[in-house]
Amino acid sequence: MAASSAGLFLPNILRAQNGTPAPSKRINLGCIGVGNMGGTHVRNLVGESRVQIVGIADVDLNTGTKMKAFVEEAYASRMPAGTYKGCFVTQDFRELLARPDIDAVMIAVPDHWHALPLIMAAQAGKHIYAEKPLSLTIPEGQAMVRAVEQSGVICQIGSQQRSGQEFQRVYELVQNGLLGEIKRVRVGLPGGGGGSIQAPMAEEKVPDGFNYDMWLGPAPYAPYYHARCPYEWRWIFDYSGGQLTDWIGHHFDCAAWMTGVSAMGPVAIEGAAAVFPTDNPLYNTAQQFAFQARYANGVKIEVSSALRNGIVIDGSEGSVHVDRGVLEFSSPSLQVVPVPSQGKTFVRRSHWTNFLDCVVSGETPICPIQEAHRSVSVAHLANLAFRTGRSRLDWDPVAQRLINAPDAERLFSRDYRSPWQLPV
Amino acid sequence: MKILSHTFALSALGAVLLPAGLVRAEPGIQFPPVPADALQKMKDAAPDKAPARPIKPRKLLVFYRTQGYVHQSIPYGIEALKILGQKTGAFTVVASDDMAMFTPQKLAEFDGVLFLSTTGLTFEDPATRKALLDFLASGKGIMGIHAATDNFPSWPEAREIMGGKFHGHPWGGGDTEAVKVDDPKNPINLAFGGKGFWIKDEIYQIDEAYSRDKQRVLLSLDMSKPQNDRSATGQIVRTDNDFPIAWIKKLPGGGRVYYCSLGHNNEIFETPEILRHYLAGIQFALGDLKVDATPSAKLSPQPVAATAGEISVLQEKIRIESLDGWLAKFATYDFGQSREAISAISFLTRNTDSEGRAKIETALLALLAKPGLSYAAKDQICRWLVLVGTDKSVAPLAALLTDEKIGTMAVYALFELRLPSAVKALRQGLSSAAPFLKPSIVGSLGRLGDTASVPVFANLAAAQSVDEARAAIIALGAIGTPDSLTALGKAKVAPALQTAKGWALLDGASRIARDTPKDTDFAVKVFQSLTAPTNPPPLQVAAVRGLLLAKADGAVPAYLNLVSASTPQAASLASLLSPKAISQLTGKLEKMEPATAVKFLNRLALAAPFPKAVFARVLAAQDPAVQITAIGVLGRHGDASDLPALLSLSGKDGDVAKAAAAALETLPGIDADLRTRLKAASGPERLLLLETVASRVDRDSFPLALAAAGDTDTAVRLAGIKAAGRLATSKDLTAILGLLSAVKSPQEKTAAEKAVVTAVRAARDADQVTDAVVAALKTTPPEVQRVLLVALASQDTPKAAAALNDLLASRDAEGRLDIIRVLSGTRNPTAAAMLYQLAIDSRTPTEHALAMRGYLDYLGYFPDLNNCARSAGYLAAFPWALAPKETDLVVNRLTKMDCGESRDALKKLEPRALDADLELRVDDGIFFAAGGEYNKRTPGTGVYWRVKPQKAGTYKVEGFQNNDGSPHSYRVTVAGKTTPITVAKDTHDAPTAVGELPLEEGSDVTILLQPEGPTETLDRFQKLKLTRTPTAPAPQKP
Repeated sequence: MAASSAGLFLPNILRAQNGTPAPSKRINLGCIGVGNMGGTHVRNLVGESRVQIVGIADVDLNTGTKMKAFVEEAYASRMPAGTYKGCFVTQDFRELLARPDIDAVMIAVPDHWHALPLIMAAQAGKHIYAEKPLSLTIPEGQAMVRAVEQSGVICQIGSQQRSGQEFQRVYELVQNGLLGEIKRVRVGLPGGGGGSIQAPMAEEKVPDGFNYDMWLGPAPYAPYYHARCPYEWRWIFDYSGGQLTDWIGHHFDCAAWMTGVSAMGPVAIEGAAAVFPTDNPLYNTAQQFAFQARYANGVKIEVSSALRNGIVIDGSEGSVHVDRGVLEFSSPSLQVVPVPSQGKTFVRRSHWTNFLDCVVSGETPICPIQEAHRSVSVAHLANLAFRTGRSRLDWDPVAQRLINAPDAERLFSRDYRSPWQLPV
Repeated sequence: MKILSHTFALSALGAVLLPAGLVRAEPGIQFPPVPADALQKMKDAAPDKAPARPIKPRKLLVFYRTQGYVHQSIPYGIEALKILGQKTGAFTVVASDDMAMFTPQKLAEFDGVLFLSTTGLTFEDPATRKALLDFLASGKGIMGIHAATDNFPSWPEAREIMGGKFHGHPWGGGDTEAVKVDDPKNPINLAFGGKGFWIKDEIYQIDEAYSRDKQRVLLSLDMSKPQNDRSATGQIVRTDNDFPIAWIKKLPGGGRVYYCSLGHNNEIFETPEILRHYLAGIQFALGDLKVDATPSAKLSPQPVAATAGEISVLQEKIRIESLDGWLAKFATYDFGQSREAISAISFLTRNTDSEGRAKIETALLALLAKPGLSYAAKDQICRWLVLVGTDKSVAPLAALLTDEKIGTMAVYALFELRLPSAVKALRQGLSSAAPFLKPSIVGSLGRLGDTASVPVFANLAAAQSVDEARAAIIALGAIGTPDSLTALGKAKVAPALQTAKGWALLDGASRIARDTPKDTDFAVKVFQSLTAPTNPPPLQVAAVRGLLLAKADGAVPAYLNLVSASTPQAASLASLLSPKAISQLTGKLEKMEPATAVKFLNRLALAAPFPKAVFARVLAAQDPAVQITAIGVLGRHGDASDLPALLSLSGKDGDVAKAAAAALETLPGIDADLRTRLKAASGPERLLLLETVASRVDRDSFPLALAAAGDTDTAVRLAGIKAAGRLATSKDLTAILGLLSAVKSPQEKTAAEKAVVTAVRAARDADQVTDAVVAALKTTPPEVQRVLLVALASQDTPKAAAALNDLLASRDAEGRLDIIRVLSGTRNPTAAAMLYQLAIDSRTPTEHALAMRGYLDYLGYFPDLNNCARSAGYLAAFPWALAPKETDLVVNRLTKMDCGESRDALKKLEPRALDADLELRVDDGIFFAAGGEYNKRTPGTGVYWRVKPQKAGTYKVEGFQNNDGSPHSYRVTVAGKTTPITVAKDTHDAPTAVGELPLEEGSDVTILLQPEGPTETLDRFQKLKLTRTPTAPAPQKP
């Protein structure tokens, strides 16, 4: 149980007299990937008194330079002299990891680039806040979990709904038995995905300052298109797994966590069905999908892009629908029923606060890498079922091996493009 | 005073309102011609032969009249049916939308009538109804495609014959649904080959007459597929999850029926399987195809339904036979071009058996051998070979290894084939491969565990090329045998790769320790060597972790060395320590920096068994952060024996006391102890314990909390009320309500109110709550009653509404206003219905204004209402909106609704000029009802018109109705004044006088007509006529 009331009081030990930590006691953060999601993190973190952003790595030098300027300006306004220099910027994250002054890294890059920086950061002893979905393949995730466990760093995965109060409330109700016996669990994820592009696509020039070869990194060679890179990479199997992998780390992750199966894998994916795009020049991930994940303890989670977005849990004492900002109970009593403090409860705090608290306290963050790996593995297994035309795929969650599915086995991992190596 | 019934109000304001916003068209519509390519597709799709030979030449009337929605697929349907008839000789088609076809003489020409997406057919002329019934009774057939179930609103018998009534389409035309073949062996279903399928079309929800007891269901939605689940849309009214698509039945009085709801999308009429299904169904209805039509529920044994398999869309027609065609298209593929052929071939690779995959492999290899393929095409072929490749693919893939670009995909494919021949090809290809590819080949061989490569990799590990050397180092670790690690250990790697070598050794040793117990000693030796302080700290930590997990002799000393060297990551390993090792660590804890000690303590909390002694000792630590950490850990993992220490710490000051109080809230297994202490406690400890038992939700402490609520000490009373509110269950409701009468301060009142709200919401039985609250209202002083009224109003039940009505009847003006304010804040359907009626029956203008405002606020607020339902609510409010402020508000809100209802009504709300005279026809007015469906045939529906007199004067009002042989009662309301009228049976020539109406010049007037009595409707009422009387009296205020 990650919940802790002690966490409320702990940060004091890092606080200086005036309530903010002395600069030498701040957590020096390096940011790997500062585009869409990473940029949001940077903008939020410049106001966090426990953190000093000291380095930025982005394959797009324009983005990196812009965010460096943003960080320095934000810090300058708080300096007596009104100026601040001291945020390093690079296109190669390895330079950032080589800096001994960096305590922790934030990783927010396309999915095909999740494994290498995370493993290298762990081996360099940096604490890690990394975006979901954890991995592009299950073997990557296994290597990532090993690296974090072996090196003893703190690692939070960015499934921030686990820190959302509406989701925590449902967790508390389910885990403390207030919803009764759980009868049915349904997870609605978005379908579709991908901006409108049409064949034929004209050749495009790589923009100045954008290191496209580095962007591709371990992924196979493919020509540059803008519609391939920012944000839209997630609709292409070379870099991601579509809406399914994009959202598995949210609603599905939460549903598994609420029903107590987030630390184990399913024994089977059942009822797998998907619709793939038929005439798109770039995007090839499933547009509609459905499957059920069955666990050894009898829990079954139904996932579909046709269900209302969010999680529906039916219990013998009532039902709840939860989504971001949405919490609907079948009975008003569920809305008010108090959760015993000695049960499984949380101190409500943001996902980043939880991470920083854990860096200080040595505790396990609310979304540990082991569980993020289990969540995204379900999406990978479902995609394997879709891509091999199977409605059912059996899985040994202990050995993490496919059972009797030699064709799915062949899509299980992805070879990296030279010279990149997954340091298993 | 009357109130709207609960269910009535719910349906009024809930989701179910009316089919609004449909495109309406009168018959006689000219459809654009069907494009030639679509005609060709239909011709190709239609079968050559009918399942039955017609007993005699058959003539089919395809009727497509639309008095409601017009389906654009109708002309496609007509053409497809014509083609089916022509191509198979099963029947000839006459298409018509003329009601004149329904005479006995005309119908006699036909063997069957097929309703093709007809909508809203009324068959008003009784002769047409009789003609159709007689036609059926003579043993002929009727058929329906798609909207044929959306007809006969005033002719239930015909709806019964068709077999059900359309009730919305929760599945849209853009959706792809799984369809279950309920009766796979039925001759009408043979087109589906005994398999369920997926199809893109609009699917109806059918209700009313539909029942498996009455008809043989052929197809229905496969609700085992989550894609079909529409429970979240709020449109589902069926409770049995049965959504039929096609059925047949034999009518008791003669005649046969076939219906299929597919046919919204044009493409349905180009789909071979569906055309075959239609044809067989039509032949059944015509009497040519003999089919058992025993109702589904009466079959024994029940047929085993065929559910849909893998999603595939019938229209796509991607079959293995089409492979060559797709490959020909694919052969010219390059990046940026359409991937249609790729999608199709990928679909084939997924949805074929091993034989099909073999066929695909052969074809792909043949294509790969051809010159002129683009890089992109080769890349894609490699990807497909990953899935379908066999030994045959190995050599062609290996041949690509000399090309540095496409070679990447070849390595990938060879790696994933996981065949011994592929491993061999990679190993052999290494020396001749393009240099760029070598690291990737080495990495692949490493992950494939190719021990035969160890000597080569041992050399490569010391190679000049950093990338190749790194790949070899990692590969030797991944192979993970004593041999590979020995070779790696000996390799003289470049300084920059020393750390990589360390991690690779660690990786290999971990594999050995995990997978080959006999070599554990070897692994331990590797771990030992990696604990050297010259290695980076994370690597040392990983090595010590390896030793601890292997339970090696040197593990604990190595660990303690790390701790002595203040390696921060060492904290993460504390939970792996044995009790003995933990006791060795405890001495070191006290010498640590507090920040580091905190980390160790938090990890030790996870050690098994829980090392309680460590924490008991640290409770007295000097540093508050360390002390607080220990308190927190004990609070989560301790037991009853820790209670005294924590309780005593909670008496101190500051953060330590707060932490101890928080720990008491979480400490397991102390509830009984807490109650014993609470009974005896006094002063601050009693307050703390009250808070603690409340936080722990120890329901057994409720009597203690209630006792505290009656204490003399003000702080204890307040804590007691708060605790009682949190701990109450439904059986304690009366006790909680009783707290209200005893409150002594505003704080206590607030706490007691909160307790009441919590207890009321927690109670499951609404009627029990109502009884308790009604009883409490009799004894509670007026100044604290408000929360009880809120409790009552929030029940949302008829019983609570009745209780509130009783209160309204007995209260004075101010008391009534209090209740109306409470109802306004409640926002549930029952309260809204009460507010609506209060606005109509108000005793004072203030009451009216408050009630109307509350009702309108509800409409604006309630998130479950769609805009059509909201519009209906506003239209119902309008005739009672008296002040201009109210009418303006309603119009303003209606403007924002933007749905069919509101747009139509806004036009009609424009007042019509009233000069010498004006006819107000029912059909031109605005219909409204307090709830439920509203139209002129439904009791409870009223109608109103807006007029603007051009001249002041007295106007004569007369009523007219159509002849139906009996008089009817109505009431007319103008400006709040109601006149009952009875209109004689036939008033075409002699209208009934309603009365006289004095009207001012230029004012907008709402004239309202409602049927009188529970069963009366506006159906026969024709119009009101206003005529200005010649002698105008002096104008007076209405």
